[in-house]
Amino acid sequence: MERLAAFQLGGQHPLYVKYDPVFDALIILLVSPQTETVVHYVDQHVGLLYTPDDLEIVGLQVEAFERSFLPQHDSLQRVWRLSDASAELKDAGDVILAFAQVTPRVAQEVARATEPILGKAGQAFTRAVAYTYAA
Amino acid sequence: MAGREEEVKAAIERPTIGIFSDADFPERQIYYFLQKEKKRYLKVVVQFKNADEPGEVITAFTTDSPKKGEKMVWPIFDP
Repeated sequence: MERLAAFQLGGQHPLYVKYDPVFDALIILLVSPQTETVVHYVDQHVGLLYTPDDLEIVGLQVEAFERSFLPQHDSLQRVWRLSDASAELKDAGDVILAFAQVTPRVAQEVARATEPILGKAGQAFTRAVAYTYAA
Repeated sequence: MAGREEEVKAAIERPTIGIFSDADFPERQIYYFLQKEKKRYLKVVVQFKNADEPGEVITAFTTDSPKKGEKMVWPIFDP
C-alpha cells in the first residue's frame, strides 16, 4: 500500500473514473488508464486493481454496478443519480461537465461503500481518493 | 482488450478451467485462460442476448482468480 500512502503525501493527483454501461462496471483508477493492472476479487462485486510488477493497489473495479451494487448503497445511489441527469442537459459539453463535477463524489462514495470489504486497504484507498481531482 | 484478440480467441476455444456462468447476469458466460508465465488468468466475458444468436465478447481483462458467485457450467477442457 506504499503507493496509496504516497498519493496522500504528494498532494492532489488525478482520478480516473469510467463506467462501462455494457459490462456494467465502474472502474476507479489513481494511475493512468493505460497502466497494466490485474483484478483481485474480494467479493462478488468488488475487485482491487493492482499493478503486476510491484503488486501495489492502484484502483477498484465494481462489477454489476447498477444491477446489484448500487441498490445496496443509498448514499452512493443518490450521487450516481446526479451523474445520470445527463438526459436533461443541453449538449455533450454539459454532460462532460456534469460528470466531471460528480466524479470525485462518486469515487468517494464507492470507496466508503467498499471500506468494510477491503479492510485496511479500503481505508487507505478512501484516504487516497480524498486527495484527487477529476482527470 | 485491443491487441489481445488472439488471446481472447484462445480463451474461448480452450478455456483452462472451464466455462462459468456470471454471478449477476445469467445471459453471460465467463472464460478463463491461464497465462502460465504470469500465473494469472485472462478473463473473457461473453454476452448472449438471444439463445439463437452468437455471443458477443463484451470485455476481457487479467485477474488472479475466478470471482465468487460464478458457477461452472462446462467442465475443464482437456483434449
